[in-house]
Amino acid sequence: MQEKQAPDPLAERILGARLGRPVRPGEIVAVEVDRIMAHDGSGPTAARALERHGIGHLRGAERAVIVFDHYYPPASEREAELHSVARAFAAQYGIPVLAGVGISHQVLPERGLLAPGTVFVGGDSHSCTAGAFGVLGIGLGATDVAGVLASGHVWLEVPETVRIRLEGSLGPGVGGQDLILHILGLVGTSGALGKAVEFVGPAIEGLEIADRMKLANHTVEMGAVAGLVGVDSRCLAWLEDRGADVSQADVAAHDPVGDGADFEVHLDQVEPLIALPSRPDQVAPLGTAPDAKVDQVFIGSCAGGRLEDLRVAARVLDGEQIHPGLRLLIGPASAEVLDAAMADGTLGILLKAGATLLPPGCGACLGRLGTLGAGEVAVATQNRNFVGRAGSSSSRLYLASPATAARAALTGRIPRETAS
Amino acid sequence: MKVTGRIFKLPPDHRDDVNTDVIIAGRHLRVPEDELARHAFENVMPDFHEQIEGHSILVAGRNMGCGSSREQAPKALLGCGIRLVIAESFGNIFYRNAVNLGLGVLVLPDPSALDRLEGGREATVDLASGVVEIDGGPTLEAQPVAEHVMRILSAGGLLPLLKKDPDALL
Repeated sequence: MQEKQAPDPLAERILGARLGRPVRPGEIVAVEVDRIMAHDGSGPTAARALERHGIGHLRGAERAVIVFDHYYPPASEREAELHSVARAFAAQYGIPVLAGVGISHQVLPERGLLAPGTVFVGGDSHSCTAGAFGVLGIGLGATDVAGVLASGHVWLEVPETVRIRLEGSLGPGVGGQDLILHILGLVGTSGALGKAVEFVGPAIEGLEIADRMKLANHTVEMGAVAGLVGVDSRCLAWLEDRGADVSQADVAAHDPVGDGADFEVHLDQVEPLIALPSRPDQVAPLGTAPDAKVDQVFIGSCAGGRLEDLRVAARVLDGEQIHPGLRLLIGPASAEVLDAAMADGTLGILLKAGATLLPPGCGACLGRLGTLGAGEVAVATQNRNFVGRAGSSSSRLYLASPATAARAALTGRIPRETAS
Repeated sequence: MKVTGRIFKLPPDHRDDVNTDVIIAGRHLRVPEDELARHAFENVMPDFHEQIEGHSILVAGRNMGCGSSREQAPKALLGCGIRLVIAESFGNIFYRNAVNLGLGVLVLPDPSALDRLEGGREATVDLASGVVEIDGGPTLEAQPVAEHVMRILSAGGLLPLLKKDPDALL
């Protein structure tokens, strides 16, 4: 009897399908890009660079979209100028602008702009989030995006794949953010350096789309070029609902067996975790976190600002008041998330508890809003807690699930246990 | 393509997993590009822009430039006069950004070889061959820079290359 083999890694399947021939890790390929995204930081920089170098023919323009998510609405003349530059560039090349409707990584899939089995590049490191939909999503800097706009292609070394097999189901009070922090602790910040991460195994089918997006989103914190979750029927239904092109979805089919994976994760064994300052992979069980007064809680970002996250927070805060003197900032990942949270009462609960609503977008993640002062401590559902990430170099950021973050908002201290 | 200059070695506690937030903090992303240099490494080494004067080769450790895709990180280093970064390994996006902007990058995967690159020494580095000649010895062998990456660097960056030939990397 022939031994059953695991399917080829998803990244290689997608690249192979795009190139019409098998690829192998380590070879350099140039592949046509199906979708290109720039935001209000990378977009204006790319526009100015193209102009400065006299490049005016953009083969990729009709596949491009510009999303204003970092600096919307502008809070300074310089930010307003970035938007003017981006809008003029977009008008010149007929590129749509999505302004103030949320974070690119949320808005693109919501609007059916990502197609499974295809290649996406975005001028933002968390473009790997697209991998939740079987899309090879690659984060790039602004000049790289300018190059892709010009040529319509991206060059890359075909990455090796680190396969992470998930089995079982999460226990009560444990969320997708705890799961990915657990994995980040296992793999480490350079554990997947230059590689693709693929999540495989039987537990995937039980994970909500929002949790899959958390998984893919954090792969860049492991050093990965891309993070991928294969397409199953739940993902397909979600995408079809959004009008996405699913004609290439077969290429990106999920591997439910996951034989021969590099890491094995039993979801039942995952406990609530918190990432200590100032490394996302420096994770500790809640019970062992040091006690500290908390000045700000941020529930938002491309990691933890979806409807599911806000609902978890609302369950903890329903009928309660946040700790006096503490700021609780809610940053819906998109206008659609905000709309749904208004409709189902989630937002009302959070606001009554004392939360402050931020506009849909990147919110407090990079310290432009909810800037942390000297010595301040924050708990956030975002993905990065680097030194000075959200303000003062002496501020300290802890990363945790929305349940843990909401608990911190109630007690004003780093939680030692999950909300009951 | 050769780079000759004095080595600046990042201190041990800021040598590995240097993220781009540390290289240039979020609050400085919107400053004019010629002001980036003076804010390089500000959050962890406030006087970096003074210390770096007279050095053009920066030596880091593992996973140099991880995190955010902000291109202001390599721009800040270029503004400091750095022409080449040598590291045990690089964050993928930082590596590409550096190359695209004409900042040299070299992978020296052997940590003991990396140890021999002492701060303050002069060195001449040939990127295509990966040979690092330290003045007064020793000579180290890093990974040769891949051919297509050399083409970008030799053109002075990605867009100068694509301006000359839009199909250059296809």
